[in-house]
Amino acid sequence: MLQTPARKKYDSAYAHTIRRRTLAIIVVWAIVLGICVYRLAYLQIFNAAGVAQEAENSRTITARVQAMRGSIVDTNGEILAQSVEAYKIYVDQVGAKNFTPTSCTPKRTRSMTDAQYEERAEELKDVCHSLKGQDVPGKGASAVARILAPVLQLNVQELGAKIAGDTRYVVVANNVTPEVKRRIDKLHLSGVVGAELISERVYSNPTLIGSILGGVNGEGKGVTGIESMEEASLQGINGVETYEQTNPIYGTAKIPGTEKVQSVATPGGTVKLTIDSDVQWYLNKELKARVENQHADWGIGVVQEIKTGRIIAISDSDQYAANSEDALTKGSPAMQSTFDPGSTGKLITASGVLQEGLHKATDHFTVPYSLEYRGQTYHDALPHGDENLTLAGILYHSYNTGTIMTAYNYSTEKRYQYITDFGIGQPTGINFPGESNGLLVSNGNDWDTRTRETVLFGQGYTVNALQMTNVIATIANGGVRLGQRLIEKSTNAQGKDTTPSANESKRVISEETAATMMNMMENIGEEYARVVTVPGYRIAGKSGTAEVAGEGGRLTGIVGDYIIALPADKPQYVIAVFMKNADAYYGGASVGPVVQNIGKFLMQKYQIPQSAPRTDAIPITW
Amino acid sequence: MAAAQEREARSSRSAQSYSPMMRRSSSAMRATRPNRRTSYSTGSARPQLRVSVHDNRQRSSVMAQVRNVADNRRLSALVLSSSIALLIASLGITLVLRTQMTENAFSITQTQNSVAQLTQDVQQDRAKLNNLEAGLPERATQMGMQQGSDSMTIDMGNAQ
Repeated sequence: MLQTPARKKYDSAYAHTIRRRTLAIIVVWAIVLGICVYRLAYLQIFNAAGVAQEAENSRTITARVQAMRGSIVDTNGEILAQSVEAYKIYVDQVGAKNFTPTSCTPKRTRSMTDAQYEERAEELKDVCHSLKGQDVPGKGASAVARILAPVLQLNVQELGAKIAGDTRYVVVANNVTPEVKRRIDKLHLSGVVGAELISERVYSNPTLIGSILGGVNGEGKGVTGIESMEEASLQGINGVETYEQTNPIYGTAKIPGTEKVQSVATPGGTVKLTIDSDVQWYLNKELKARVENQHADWGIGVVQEIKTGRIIAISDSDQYAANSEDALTKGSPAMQSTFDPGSTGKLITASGVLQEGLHKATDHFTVPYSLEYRGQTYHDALPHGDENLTLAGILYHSYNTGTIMTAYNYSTEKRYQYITDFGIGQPTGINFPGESNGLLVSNGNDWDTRTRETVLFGQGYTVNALQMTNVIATIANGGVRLGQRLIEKSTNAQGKDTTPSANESKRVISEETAATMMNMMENIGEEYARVVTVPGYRIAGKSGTAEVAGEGGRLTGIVGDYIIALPADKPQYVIAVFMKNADAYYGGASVGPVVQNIGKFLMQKYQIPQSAPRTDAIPITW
Repeated sequence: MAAAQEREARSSRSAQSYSPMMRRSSSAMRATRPNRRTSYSTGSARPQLRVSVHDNRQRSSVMAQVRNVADNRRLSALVLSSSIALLIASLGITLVLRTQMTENAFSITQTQNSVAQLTQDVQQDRAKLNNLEAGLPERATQMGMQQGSDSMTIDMGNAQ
C-alpha cells in the first residue's frame, strides 16, 4: 500500500510522539528506580548499621532484674528470714475483653479422616482452653476468670470483676509460688495473663521473734525491726537485662533467646543474730504460758550472755508474726516499753554507796517501816517493826527506808552519775528502730526533793528491759558494762563486713564492789529459792515491784520483775523477766517460774559446770 | 629533541621486534640474507638450500602457545570451578554452623530455664524444710515430749 506524503508525515510525527512518550516514561521510571536504588543503597550500605541499631533499639526492652534480699540467721546459722523467687500475676484487661476460648474438640469435616481428626485434636491441646475437661463457657473477662480462678484459688466472680475494664496491667495475685505460675502457663492465656518475677520474704517461724525481725514493704525494703536496721546489709544489688519483644501492637511477648544480661543481680548479705532459736522458742513458750496463767497485761523476757553482751533471747507475750500488720505498726514491746525499775534499781544505789566507800555491806542499820526525811515521809511496801539489818540485809528485804538510810551521804550528783554509768537513760547501742532510752532527767539537780530519794529505790526514772538486764550483767561481769549486741555478724551484697559496733565497755564499779554485790544478790537468790531453783547452781538475783501508770495515768499498774545472774559463782547468763499487772503482786512470785525454767534450760543446753558450795555469805542481820 | 627522536626510533624498533607481523618479516629477511651473500660471492643463480629449522620452530612455538592457552584456559576453568565449589561449600558450612549455633543457643536457653526452674524449686523446698525444722520443738511438745528438768552431772569429787 502506497503512502501519501501526508500519511508519511503523520506516521513520522506519531512515531516521534511515541518515542518521546516512551522516553519520558523511561526517564520517570529511571528516576523512580534511581531513587529506590539510592534509598536501598543508603539503607543497606551507607546507613545499614545505624538502621539496624535503631530497629533493635525500638524492640529492645531494658528490664531490672531484682536481686534477692539477704537472709537473717540465728547464732547457730538456722535461717529465720530468707527470700525466695515468687511471681506477681497480672491481667491485661483489654486482652481479657477480647478473649475467646478455643475449644479442645476440633470441628469434624466430611473430608477429615480419623487420623487427621486425632492429629488436629493433638495440635489443639497446646492452645485450647478447658475447664475440668469441658469447653469453657462464655468469652471475655468472665471466661478468663473461670479458667484462672481455680488455679489462683480465688472466687470466680471476684476475679471476673477485677479483670473487667480497660487497663492493661491489673495485679490479681501476689507472692504466687513458681509451681502455681507454671500451672498458669499451661492455661494458654499468654496474651491475657502475665507473670512478673518478684522476691518474696519468707520467715521460717514467723512468731519466733517476729517483732524483732520486723518486716518489709511491697518493694521489699525493710521498714521495721532488724529488716529495717540492717537494710544496707540485706538489700541486694539489682541486675540489668535486655530483651527484644514483639511488636507491642500484637502484644508484649518476649522473643525467646534475645535475653542479654547486662549486669548480674547480686543477692544481699547475711545478718547473723546473737539469738539462739532454741532458747528463744523456750522463752516464748514459758513467757506466754505464764502471762496467760497470771492474767497479765504483758510479759517481757531477756536472756543475755554476760561475758559478751550478746542477747541470746528476747521475747514478749504479744509474739507478733514477722511482717504482719502488728509487727509493722506496733513494733517490739521488749525494745520500746519502758517502766520504773522499782526495787531492782536498789542495786544501782547499793553499788554506788559501796563503790564510793560510804558504807560496807556489813554496816549496821536499824530500819523502820516509815521514815521522815527532809520533810517527806517514806515507807516500805509492807508494815514491819524496826529491824537490825546490815546493808546486805536492807537489800535482802528490799526496804525503801533502809535504802534511803544507806544513802544519807550519797550526793545527788553521784546518784545521777551511777544511774547513767549503768546505762540508764542512754541507748543500748543496738540501734534497734524505735528503741526507747527510757526517761531520765538530764541533770540530777532537776529532781525534786522527793524524787532525789525515790530514785534510790527505782522510782523516778524509767528503763527498758534491755537496760535493766545490762545493770545486772554489769555487776556479774565484775563491774564492767559491755555494749549489748543483737547482731553477731553481718555482711553486705559485696561480702564486706558490716557488723555494727557495740557500745564501748566501761568500768562502772570495781571488781571488789561487784563481788560484794553478787554476794548480797546471792542472799536474795537463796531467799527466792522457794520459787526459783536451778538444782546444782547458785543464783544471784533481785526482784522488783514498781508502781506504774495504769488506766487514766494514775499509778495503779504494777510491773513485777525478777532478774538473776546464773551461776552466781561463775556468772554466764542474765535472765530478766518482767510482767505487768500479774495476779501475783511481787515480781519474784509472778515471773519466778519463767526465770527458773529458762535457767534450767540454759544450764542444760550450754552444759554449764555446776556451782561450788557457797562459803562466804554476808550476814543480813546484826 | 634529538633524544626524543632517538627514543621514538628505539621504541619503533622495539615495537617491530615484538610484533608478529614484524616477526614474520624478520624471518623473511633472515631467509633472504644468503641470497644477498651468494650474490656477493658468485653473482649467478644456483639451487638454494633452505633450512627449514626456523619454520618448524615457528610452528612448534605456535602450537606451544595454543597448547599454553588451552592449558591456561583449563587451569582457569579449574580455578574458577574450585572457587565456586569453595564458595558454595563455605556458604553451606556457614549455614550449617549458623543452624548449629541457633540450635545451641536454643538448647542453652532451655537449659538456663531448667536451671532457673530447679533453683526456684530448691528455694521453695529449702524454705519448707526450714519451716518444718523451726516447727520441730512445737511438734515435739504436741507429741508430749518434755524438757528435762535438771542437768545431769557426775560428781567426781571422791574419785581416786
